[in-house]
Amino acid sequence: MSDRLIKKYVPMTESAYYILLALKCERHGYGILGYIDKITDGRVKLGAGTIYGTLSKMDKDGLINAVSEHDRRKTYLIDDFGLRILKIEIERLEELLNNARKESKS
Amino acid sequence: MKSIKKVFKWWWGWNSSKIENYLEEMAKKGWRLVEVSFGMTTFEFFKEDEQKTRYAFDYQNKIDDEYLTIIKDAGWKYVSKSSGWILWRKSYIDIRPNLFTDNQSLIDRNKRLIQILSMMILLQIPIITMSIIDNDYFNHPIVSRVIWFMYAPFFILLMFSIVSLFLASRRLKGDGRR
Repeated sequence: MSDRLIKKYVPMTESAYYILLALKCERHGYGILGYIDKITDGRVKLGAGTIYGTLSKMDKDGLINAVSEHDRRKTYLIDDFGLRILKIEIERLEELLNNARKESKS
Repeated sequence: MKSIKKVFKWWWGWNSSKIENYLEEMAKKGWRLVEVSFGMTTFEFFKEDEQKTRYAFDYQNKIDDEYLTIIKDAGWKYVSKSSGWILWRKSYIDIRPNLFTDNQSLIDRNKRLIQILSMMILLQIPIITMSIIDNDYFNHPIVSRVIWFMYAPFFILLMFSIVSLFLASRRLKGDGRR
């Protein structure tokens, strides 16, 4: 079950990666959008439809949890399984980066 | 000069960007969309100032508050909805906004459409079985002909739509790999 899900999410799309990263703190949909816009200096702009779709999928697959709801805005937080998948992806990215650095030194 | 215009436009769910671009072009010429009718195929425009407006269609099985709030928070304005389709618009100045920023979102939208169309096909099974098995009503030459005249085009349309959605998704997957 979880192997199938790991395969589904890794390698990750940029949107999925940044949404998981954003959800290390409790945030709602629009908050995620603003956070990603800020940390990428406006390079990654996520569409609202894409955010909604990704959040519902991740919620269903058990990567994130809906924590609370204020003013018709659900807030989400990454859970243990989400953190595990994010870690696998970060290790993959580190490998890519390290290999490139080794190659440029030689 | 005439200031109201009503246009009938047929469009396919796997190619909604075509109708979205059409509406955007109209806005650029100053035709503001004010009314949508007949299952999102008839569009009524008022002549106003020229505007840059992005239009975007989504398809959702259920439209809940959570969905509406996320989209509205991002500055989109609700225009119209009909049988699961929902039309949004957003005015812009420089950067053209998108409701979906990856292919996966469009593939998922196609998936939802395929699900609903497949269900419609499954619902036809009783009628089809009835028309095949020996049955006084359906074996009546006129009745069965009428049924097939009514059902065949509907059935072909459903099948054509499902196949087209599959092909569109396959193209989108290919794009993603590049």
